Amino acid sequence: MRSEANMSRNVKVLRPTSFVYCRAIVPIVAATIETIVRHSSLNLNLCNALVLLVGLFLGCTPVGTDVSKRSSNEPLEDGVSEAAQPKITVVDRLGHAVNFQRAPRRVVSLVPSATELLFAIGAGSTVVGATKHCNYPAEAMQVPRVGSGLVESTSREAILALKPDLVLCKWDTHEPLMRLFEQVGIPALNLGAETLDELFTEATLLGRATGQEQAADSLIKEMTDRRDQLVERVADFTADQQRSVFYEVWDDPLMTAGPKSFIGELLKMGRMKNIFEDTDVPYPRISSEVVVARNPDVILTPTSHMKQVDLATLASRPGWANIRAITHKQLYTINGDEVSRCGPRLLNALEQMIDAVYPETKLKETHQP
Amino acid sequence: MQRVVIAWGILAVASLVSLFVGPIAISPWDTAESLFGDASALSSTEQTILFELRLPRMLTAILVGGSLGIAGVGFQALFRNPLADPYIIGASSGAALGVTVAIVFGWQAALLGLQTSAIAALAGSLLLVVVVMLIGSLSRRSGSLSLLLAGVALSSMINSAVSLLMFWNEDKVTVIFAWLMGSLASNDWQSVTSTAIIALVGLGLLWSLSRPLDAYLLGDVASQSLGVHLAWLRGLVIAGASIATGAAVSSAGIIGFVGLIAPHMARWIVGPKHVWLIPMSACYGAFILIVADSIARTIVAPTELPVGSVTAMLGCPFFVGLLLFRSRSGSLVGDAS
Repeated sequence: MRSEANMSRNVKVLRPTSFVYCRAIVPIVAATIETIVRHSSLNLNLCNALVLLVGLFLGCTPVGTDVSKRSSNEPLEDGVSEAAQPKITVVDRLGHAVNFQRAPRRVVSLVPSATELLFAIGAGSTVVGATKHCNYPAEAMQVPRVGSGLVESTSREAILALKPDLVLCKWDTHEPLMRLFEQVGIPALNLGAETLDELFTEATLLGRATGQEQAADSLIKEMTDRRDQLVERVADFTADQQRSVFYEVWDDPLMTAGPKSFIGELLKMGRMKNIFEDTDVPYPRISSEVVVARNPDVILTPTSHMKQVDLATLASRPGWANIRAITHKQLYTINGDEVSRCGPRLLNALEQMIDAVYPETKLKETHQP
Repeated sequence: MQRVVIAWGILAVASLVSLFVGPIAISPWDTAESLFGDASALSSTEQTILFELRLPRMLTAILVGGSLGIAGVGFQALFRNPLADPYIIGASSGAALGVTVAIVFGWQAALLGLQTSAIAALAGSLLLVVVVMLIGSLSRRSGSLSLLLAGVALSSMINSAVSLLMFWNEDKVTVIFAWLMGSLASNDWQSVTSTAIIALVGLGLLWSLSRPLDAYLLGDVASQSLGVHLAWLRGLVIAGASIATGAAVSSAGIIGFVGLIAPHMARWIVGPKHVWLIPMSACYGAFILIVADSIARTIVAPTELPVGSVTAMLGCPFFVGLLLFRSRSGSLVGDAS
C-alpha cells in the first residue's frame, strides 16, 4: 500500500495521458520481456534490468521496483521525530543501519557462522530459519531450512513464510536478498566475518540486536583470553625458529590457503611459516614442484579430501617422499568444519594447529584448565 | 618434406626447453653437467623436480596434445566437418560427469597408476560415447548426422546434470571447476605409462584407417564404390578417436582448442592425406600443449593456471595469424599434392 501511495505522488507530475499510458503499458511490456527472457533461459538479473530500462524509457518507474526503497523500517533522518525513538540501532559491516523497537524474536540466519554465534551468545532460541550448512550446535539442526545459502538456492518464500523480524545475510553475495527484505520491510543485516576481529565485531552487533549484550561480551572475553593463551604458547618462536607449514586444502587439483585467507591468518597467529606466503589468491592452485622445493616441516590438511590423506599416499606422490614433513611423519588433519568457518569454534582449529606444529608447547599447558 | 622435419624439430626443441621452465629455475648447464659428469651439479631437490615431476609432465603434455590432435582429425573426417573436435559427441561432458560424481561422492580408487579423477573421467567419457553410438546405430536415419545430433543432445543433458551436482554441492564447486579446466600437474611415471599405452592404441587404430578415411571424405556414395564399408569405418573411427580422447581426458581433464586447431595447422603443411596428416596433427597438438603448460605453471608461479584456458588464449591468436598469412588451402579434401 505504501508503495502505491508513493507511486502516485511521484507520477502526479506527469501529464494524465502519459500517466495512464505508463500504468497500462509497463506491466504488459515487463511481462512480455520476462516471458521472452525466461524462455531464452537468460539471467534473471538481465530480465530485471530490461524491465527497469523499459520503465525508464517510458518515463516512469514500473510497479514494485525501486519506488519503495526508502520504506518503513529505515526512516529518513528528518522523519524520525514523529515516530517513536527506536530502542536499538545497529550498523552492519557495509555501514547499513537498522533500527529495532524491540529485540527481534524470529531470526532467519543465512550465514552458518552467524548461526553458531547466535547460539553461542544465548540467542539460539530466536533462530527460526537457517541454511542447510548450519549444523552446529546440535540444536541448530532442529531449525527449519530455507536453502543452501546460495542466493539461487535460497527460498525467498520460505523465509517470508517464517515471518522473521530479522534476517542475517552474507555481505558479499546476498545483495538481491537484501533488496527484497528492504522492500517488504524486514530488517536485514550484512554479516560474514573473515577475521577474528571481525568475528568479535559481529558478536557485539548480534548481542546488541538480540539483547544479549552481556553474553556477547563474555563470549568475546572468553575467546580473547583463549586466543592470548594460545598465542602466548608460541610467543617464544622467533622468525628463524618457526616451522614451515604447507596447508593442503585439496589434493587433486593441488590447492593451498594463501595469506589472504582466513586459514592463512590462523597460520600467522600460530607463528607458522606458510610456505605459500607469496600468493595473492585466498585458495590458489599450486605447483607440486614448489612444495617439493620449499620442503615444509609440517603438512596440515582439513578432513575433507579427494583421496584418503595419509603419509603413504602423500609419500607416493612424485618427489614427495623426501619432503621433510613426510620423512619426519609430520602430517596432521584438522577438523574441516572448525577450520573452514570463521565462527565461535575457530580457536579450536587454531589449537589443533598449534598442537600439531608445536607439540612441545602442549606439555607446558597441561596444568591449566 | 623439409617442412615436416622442421615441425618435428621445433617440437623436440620446445620439449627440451620446457624441462627447464617452471616455478623453480633449473639451469640446463648444471643438468648437462650432472648427466655427463659431476652428478652433484644439481641439488637433490632439483633432481627430484626435474626427473620425478617435469619429465613425466612434459611427456604427458606430448601424449595428451598428440592424442587430442589425432582425435580431432578422426572426428573432422568422420563428420566431414572442419568444426568437429575431440569432444564433439560428448566425451567432454561424460568426463565432466564422471569427475563431478567422483568428487561429490568422494570415491577413491586407483587403477594402473591412474588417479580417481582420471578413472572417473575415462569411464564417463567412454560410457557416453558408447551410448551415443548405440543411439546412432538404433536410429532409423543412418549416417553421421544422427550420431552428431545424439551426441549434442546427450551432452546438453549431461552438462545440466553436472551443473545440478555443482549447485547442490557448492562447497566443492571450486575443485570441480578447477578440474574441468584441465591440468597436467598430477601425472607421474605410472600414469605416463598407462596414458602412453591408451594413446598409442588410438593412434595405431586411426593411422591404420588412413586410406579408407581418404576415400570416405569423397562422400558416402563415392567411398562405397571404392569399397569402404561405411558402418564399420564409422565405428572404428569413433573407437580410435574416443580412445585417444580418453587418454587425454584421463590424464589432463578437459583441454579445449588443441584438438580443433592442430588438424588444420597440419593440413596446411602436409595436405589432406591421412597417412601424413595424422602424425603431423599429433606433432602440432603436442607442441601447443607443451608451450601452454610451460606458461600455465610459470606465469603466476608459485600458483598455476588451468592449462585449458592457456591453450585457447595462446592458440587463438597464433591460429588467426596462420589463417591470415597461410599459403595453402586448409579444406578437408584440399588441393594439396
